[in-house]
Amino acid sequence: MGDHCQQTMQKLSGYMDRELNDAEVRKVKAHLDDCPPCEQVFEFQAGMKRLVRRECCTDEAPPRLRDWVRKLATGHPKPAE
Amino acid sequence: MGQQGIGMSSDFSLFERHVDALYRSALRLTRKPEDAEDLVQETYLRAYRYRNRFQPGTNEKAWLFTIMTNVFRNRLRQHPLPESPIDQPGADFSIYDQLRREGMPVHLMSPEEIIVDRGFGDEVKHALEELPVNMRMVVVLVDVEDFSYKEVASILGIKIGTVMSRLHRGRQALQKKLWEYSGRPKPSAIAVGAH
Ligand SMILES: [Zn+2]
Repeated sequence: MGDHCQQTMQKLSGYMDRELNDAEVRKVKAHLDDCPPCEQVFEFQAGMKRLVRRECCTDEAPPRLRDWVRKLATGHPKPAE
Repeated sequence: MGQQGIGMSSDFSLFERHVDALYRSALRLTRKPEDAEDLVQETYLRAYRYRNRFQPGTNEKAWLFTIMTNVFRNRLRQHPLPESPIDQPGADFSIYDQLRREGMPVHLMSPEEIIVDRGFGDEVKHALEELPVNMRMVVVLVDVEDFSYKEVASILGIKIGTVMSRLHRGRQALQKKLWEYSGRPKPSAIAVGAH
């Protein structure tokens, strides 16, 4: 693994999480466009993140909790305690 | 009904829309629907009580999550939940590396294909819920709720560097769990507690 690959791997999470500055983003992106092995690692990690989000976003608040919050929001709080 | 355009901290209806996000995260933290519901209620009660402290124009979702993680950590201090043992990763682990080492055509496989399409229902949630709570909170806040590292640092009252290291270790630990669930042989170097 070359220096560029190593530097890219170190920045990969930041790149995926949109935490890098513009210059860093350009650098990582240029390398990924150029280096299929690194690009594949990135695709896989990004796929993991999407998977976690998709799987964990399926739960919705129960209707009774939603109603309770609505009452609180509309100024009729009925604290359960 | 809530008035539109008040724009003041007293317009509590602003907070209402985050109930699903709070609830699903509360579920990951408490692992139990009734505890999650209770945690969300207490979060909203506190938010209501202290609504005048909220600065309009700042991120109300982050504010609610700050309250909720604080309430949760206080409860945890009083009634610790059992944590499944997790070996501290000595070497880096990723499913990608694992598959590549086995000579799999990993560039042709998505995580969805590898993990989810094996007939499991809730394995990602379960894997997440098995992570140590400090890692779990960071992974939930970044990967599920889409907060920035800086926001997570502020929500949890920790340094950005700590956010990054917990995220890194948490994601790796999550992959280890999923790897086990996916019915593949356990990575040889990894000793795991009860299933
Ligand atoms: Zn490379």
